[in-house]
Amino acid sequence: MNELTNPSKASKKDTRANKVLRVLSYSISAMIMILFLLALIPGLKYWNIEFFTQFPTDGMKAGGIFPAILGSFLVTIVALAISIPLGILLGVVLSEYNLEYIKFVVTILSGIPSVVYGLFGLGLFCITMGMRTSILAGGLTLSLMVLPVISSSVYETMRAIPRELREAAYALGARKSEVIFEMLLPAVKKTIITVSLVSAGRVIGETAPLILTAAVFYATDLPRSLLSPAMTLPTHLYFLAAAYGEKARWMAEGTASVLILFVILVYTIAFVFRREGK
Amino acid sequence: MNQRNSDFTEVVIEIKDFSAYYGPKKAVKNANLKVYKNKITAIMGPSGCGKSTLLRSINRINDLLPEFKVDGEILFHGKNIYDKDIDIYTLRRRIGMVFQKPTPFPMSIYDNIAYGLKLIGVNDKKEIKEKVKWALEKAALWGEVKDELEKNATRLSGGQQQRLCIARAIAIEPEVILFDEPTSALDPVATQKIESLIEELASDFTIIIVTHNIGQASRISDYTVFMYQGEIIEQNFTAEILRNPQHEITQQFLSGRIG
Amino acid sequence: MRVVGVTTPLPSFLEFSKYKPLLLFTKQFRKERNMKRDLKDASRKTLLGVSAILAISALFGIYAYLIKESLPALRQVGAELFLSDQWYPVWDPPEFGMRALITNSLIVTVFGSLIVVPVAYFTAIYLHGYAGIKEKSVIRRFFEYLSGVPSVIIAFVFLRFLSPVFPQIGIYSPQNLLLALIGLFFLTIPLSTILILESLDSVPREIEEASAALGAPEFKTYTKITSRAALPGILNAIVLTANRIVGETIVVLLLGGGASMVPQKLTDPMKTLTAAIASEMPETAKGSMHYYSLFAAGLILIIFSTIFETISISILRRHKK
Repeated sequence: MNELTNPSKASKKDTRANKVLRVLSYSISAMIMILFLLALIPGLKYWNIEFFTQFPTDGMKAGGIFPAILGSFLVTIVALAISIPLGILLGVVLSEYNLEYIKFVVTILSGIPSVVYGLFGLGLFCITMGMRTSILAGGLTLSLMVLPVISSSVYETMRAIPRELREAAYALGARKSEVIFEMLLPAVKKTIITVSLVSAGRVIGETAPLILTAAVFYATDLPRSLLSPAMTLPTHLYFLAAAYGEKARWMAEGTASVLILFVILVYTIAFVFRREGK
Repeated sequence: MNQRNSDFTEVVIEIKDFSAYYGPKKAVKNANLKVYKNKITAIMGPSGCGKSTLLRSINRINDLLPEFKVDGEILFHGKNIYDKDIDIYTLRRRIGMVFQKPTPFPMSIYDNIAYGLKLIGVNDKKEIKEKVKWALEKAALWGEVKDELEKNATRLSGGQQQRLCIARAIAIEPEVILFDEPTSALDPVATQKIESLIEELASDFTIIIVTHNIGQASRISDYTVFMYQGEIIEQNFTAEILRNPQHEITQQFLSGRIG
Repeated sequence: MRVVGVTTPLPSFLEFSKYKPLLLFTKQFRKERNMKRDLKDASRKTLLGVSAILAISALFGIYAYLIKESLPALRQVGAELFLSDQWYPVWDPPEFGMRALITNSLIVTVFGSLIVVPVAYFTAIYLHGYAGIKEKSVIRRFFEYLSGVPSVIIAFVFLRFLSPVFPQIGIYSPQNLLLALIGLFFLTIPLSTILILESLDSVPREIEEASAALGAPEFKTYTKITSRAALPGILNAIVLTANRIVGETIVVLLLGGGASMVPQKLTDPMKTLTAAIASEMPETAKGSMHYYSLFAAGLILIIFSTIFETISISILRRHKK
């Protein structure tokens, strides 16, 4: 039985393929890790109370990023307050009423570049509707941007619910709206929380649309209302990186570390809910 | 079939005190079995009894599953196939397999068979063509598909797909062919065709077939093994076991009370 | 009633029976309850309908609005928009030729996809076929976290740590096509790897086993059989990756160097449609020709992404059949 015990060419090749692919995967993972560390670590040393509570001063040489944190918070709240309920309802309608064509449109819209949403928001909210550069305009723009993403995910989630669950509900004499609101939505609650959190992560970090609709370089006051312009974390980082150079590098690093920590936090919670939802 | 009992001489596979585990779950418990050359051995039992696991251990296809572990030996011509120096790819070429659901590859009928041939190093186009024809004829499919060899195999009917899979398995001329409930996904007509095909193949190959269908085992097999909850309860010549089952559980299964 | 295999929570409209068991049989109660149900049903239906209409009209509005706002540029500048490489919107007289910007958008899309897709594919093959269960979930988690990292952070890290290296090794432009492609690689590798991995994982196990049973080595099974069965999913991943790249703004804006001409080599600076919109729009007078032509740039982008998404949908739809 020599034939059986001599390692064949195939077996040698496969061992080699396994090794090469493992090296590839591990090096990509290592690079991702390094990227995270480079975004997080250099900024950590600037963290202190002042950094989180003060305005930037002295041409970004000193002070903190309080207005950017506040601005990001407000824009995110506005965006999610609109997009999450609307997105869930739209996703439900798409899946439970078999609206194939509208699903098609929503899918296309979920692929439209964020900067194009920025253009739309600028033209419609800031100019035509007279909101100017403001938190409200930015929030509305971002809510439009994530709306198709949320409703597509909700749609997929609803579609994944076993048919038997619906049939069991109808067999008890429930109406369609009762089935949707009292049986299906509660059944996928955790997945929907995951979807919302992932969208929150995306909204917090979105930059291009806010450059066009909500953000200013520098604000001396806190926003008085939702119609005031604001600084936000991602646009602050963008402006610092694009225009300020050496002297503001510390603040850029600090901002990056705050922003990435927010995102990691939101995603970690999202993953916890996803695991529970399964 | 009794007349053939006399020529149970050459042992191809010998399973010795073999156990198989999925993680902590012991799916096959201390199995012992001899498989004879050019005979059809049927492994029978209710679902979940470990018969598929035992079969899938014989060509080590279960190695693909994570957390699969074995104990004991399966000897193929006297050599334990779980020895470290075994080349599993060569092993699987010598011990072919046909699955429960038809598994046509998403390519043409011709390429489905050519794929296996290329794997064993047949590269000459003329030779491949001849072997494809030979295998399809052997699997009683040639007449139906000879004009549409380029058709995507997934568009054949279920029974045709299963015969294609048999053709694909025999094209590389293995010694042993394992059948894992090959007809459970087919209609009665297709089943009948596959059964008579398997009987014919026994003159060239050694066959082990897993089935939960008593009728099927009685129609085609020479030797029958009955398994229950991971253990081999009883084994004997098929006619013998059907006429005179020794064990109570076997009797219950044969009479349809479990299964 | 059918017996089903799923444990179903008792809907709240049945729970009343817990505390009002006797009332259930009175006519009065049934009547009241039905009215309540009708009202609830109607209001919920209205809610669903209104939200659908609201969302859909808002979404359709984008197309109409972009077309409307770019019409002045299409009319006045005309074909020159697409045929000229001269993008000097703030010169006197201004020139609005976007061909170089369009070309650059396509260059980053094509080259970016060519780099990221093969790497994503082989990583996915490893995770699908070779990695252990723990190993797979850890590496996958890495990718999922990366997919959430804002593009401005990826851009900043490369601008801060890699860009300064270029002048030191004799490359005159510290921000250039190469740097942008590296940034785009990290931006899109999670998306394309996870999409390809999911399509490989959805291939029925039996087909892989059938290939292995013929004596095929794993690598051959995964690249020849599994990949072929997963082809629609892989194509879809490529299309969606390309769409992600063509629409990406901040990475190409911060790392690309911002020259509105077609790069002749990898280390030349360049600017794409998205970068032009984001960097120029804040300083553009509303209602100027520059303003309208940036809307035309947006229109071109939306057309690209509509094409990509339509291809993606039709691939998946055909696959389902």
